[in-house]
Amino acid sequence: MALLAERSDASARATAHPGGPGADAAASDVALDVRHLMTSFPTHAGWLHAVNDVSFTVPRGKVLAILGESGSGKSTILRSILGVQPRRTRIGGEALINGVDLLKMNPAEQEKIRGAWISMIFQDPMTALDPLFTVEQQIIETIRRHTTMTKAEAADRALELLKLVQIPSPERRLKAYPFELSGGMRQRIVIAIALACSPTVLLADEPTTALDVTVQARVLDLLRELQQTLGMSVVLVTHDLAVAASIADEIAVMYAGRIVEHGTTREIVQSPTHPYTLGLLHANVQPGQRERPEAIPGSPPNLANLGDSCAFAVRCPSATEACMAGVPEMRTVQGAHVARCVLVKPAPSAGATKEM
Amino acid sequence: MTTTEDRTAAMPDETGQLATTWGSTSGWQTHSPDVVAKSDHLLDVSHLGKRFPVRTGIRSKSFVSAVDDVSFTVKTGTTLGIVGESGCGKSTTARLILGLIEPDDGTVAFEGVDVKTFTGGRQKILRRNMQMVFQDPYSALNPRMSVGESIAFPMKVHGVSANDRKERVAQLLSQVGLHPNHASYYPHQMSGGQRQRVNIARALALEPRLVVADEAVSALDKSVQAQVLNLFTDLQDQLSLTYLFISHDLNVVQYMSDNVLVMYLGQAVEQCPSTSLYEEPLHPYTKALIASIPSVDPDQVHSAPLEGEIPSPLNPPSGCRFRTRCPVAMDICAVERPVMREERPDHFVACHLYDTGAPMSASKAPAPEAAPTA
Repeated sequence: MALLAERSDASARATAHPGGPGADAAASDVALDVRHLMTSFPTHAGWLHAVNDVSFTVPRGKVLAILGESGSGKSTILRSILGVQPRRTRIGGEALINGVDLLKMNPAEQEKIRGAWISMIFQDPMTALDPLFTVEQQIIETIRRHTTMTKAEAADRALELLKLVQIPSPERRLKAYPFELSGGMRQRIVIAIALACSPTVLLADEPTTALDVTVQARVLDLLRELQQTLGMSVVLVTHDLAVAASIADEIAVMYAGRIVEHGTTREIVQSPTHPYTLGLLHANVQPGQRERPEAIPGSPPNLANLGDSCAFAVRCPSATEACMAGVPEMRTVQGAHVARCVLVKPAPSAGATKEM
Repeated sequence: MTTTEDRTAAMPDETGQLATTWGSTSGWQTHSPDVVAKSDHLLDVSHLGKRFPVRTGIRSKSFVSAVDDVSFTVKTGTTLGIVGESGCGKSTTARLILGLIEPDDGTVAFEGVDVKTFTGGRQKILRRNMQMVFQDPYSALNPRMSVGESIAFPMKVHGVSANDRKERVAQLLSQVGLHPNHASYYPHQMSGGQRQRVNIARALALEPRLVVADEAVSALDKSVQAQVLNLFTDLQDQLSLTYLFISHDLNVVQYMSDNVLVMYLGQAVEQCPSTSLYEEPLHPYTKALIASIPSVDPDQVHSAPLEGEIPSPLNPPSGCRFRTRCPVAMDICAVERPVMREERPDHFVACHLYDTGAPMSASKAPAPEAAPTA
């Protein structure tokens, strides 16, 4: 918290920009502001653009879900913001928290802001914890790294955190090694560590994908509850539309390194505009469904040879020649609901139909 | 639908032709004239049990009861879905049925004949009739074998000539929606969905009657998953296949299956037609599973999820194994293990809340007939 106070005077630098929903909100309401993020990896065939000109804002106390398939660049966004990409990765654009650009920081500065400003929950609770240390040691290590707490204070905080993430008999679990805990329990520990320094923004990379469905339901409930009580902003990355819909306020749909549609959860689920979002909704088998799911033909593109056109055009049922003329611009569907598709009529009148 | 019907009509000819090229060992019935299917049950599993030894100390050993007294039947041409969370024994059940591991208790009968009686060459024919599609399309294919070689391999093992193999590989590839040219590809050149299609082609190479799909779509992206699900249903229509479809994804299982078996901690808790699974789930665990599925509908109110964690299978709870997490557990649940009872027509549940129904009778899960003497 001390770190937070130190830096807060810099927040005045944050300004609104036309990037997505919430862009017109006052700067102080924006917890995380990502602008034109570009992340490229060197390959022997040249630079591979895993994240291509991605902009979004996360309002304070809100949950943004980034929805995409494997290779869409959704996890790369989180890693780029956190500054944990391999050294040779090329990262461009800005990621502002409290008006400070995380991407311009040197590694020592980044290290300082991790924990208090931003922290991350990783997908696999089995590998995110060190098998050689007890739960208590790992939580204390994180707290002491980022704050000036003494060991005893940190131990008290650790117990508090385990209670916060609703672990039964927390005193006993503190002394446990990761292998003694179940998957759901481990993920709660990982969440506890991420919350240790009360971050402003919590990044969650597929936090429930490795969990069973009954455990997933409880971890999602916990995340939502913590997010509301602590007033955190959360960026949740998932491939599961239902997970996104059940926890997020807003959803950004990624395809081949770009955001192709961004709107509130209701807008994305009830009036999807981009053919890819529409396809994902129809491909998902719903509870009690007897009709054949409508599959999206083909498979996700190879990022190494993306042409200068809409990346989804080859799989798109409504593709036209206009789709091949260049990467479509983000267009406004209605209000803050935007989609990167040539079929979206520019600036429709209010109440206009959003169907394709 | 006309195309499907046309292809279905065309299939017997194709299979018949293949049967002649392969000699008398192709068809199940042709090879074993002494076996006459007496019912429409392709698979009868009764009281199946498997325990795995686990070292609990330097000298001590205990057993994990992975599958405990599981019985079910699968009718020819239908799909049985098995659903449950990790550690519920669904994959072990699949392996027991395929004979990849030996059961400790109970029997598996294929077309009414106990599979234990198949040894030597006869076992090979049995294996031809049961094939498996594995979960991970990346590790299920040999990276050093071309797709064509992988698909042809089971045929090579079963003595199909090289020319016939080549022809059949091309036929199989187009059947699973790939191009015959893909035969020369290596797995690393293909996407996950394509690889899973190759796995399916390989499983179909020997014209099995039963295909066991163990989490066959779980590793695939959602947009590709629907393609593979549709492929499974199309192939079933064309080839009259019987499926055992195993997944942790309840939505997918109920869509794919005619009947669904819900497992918890090694035991079957509910078995019903898939249409009644969401309409009237009976077992508290099934209800909890359904309530846990996140909904796409933002207006849907989330019900309270299940408390607690799955207990260790090393030391399962006494009586009903679900009682430690059951919201409606009673005293009897700790004492007595509930038996599968027919609560509604064709709807079986193992729960003390429904102790009035008739127990799963012998007519519903018939004991396998004695093996014919060869």
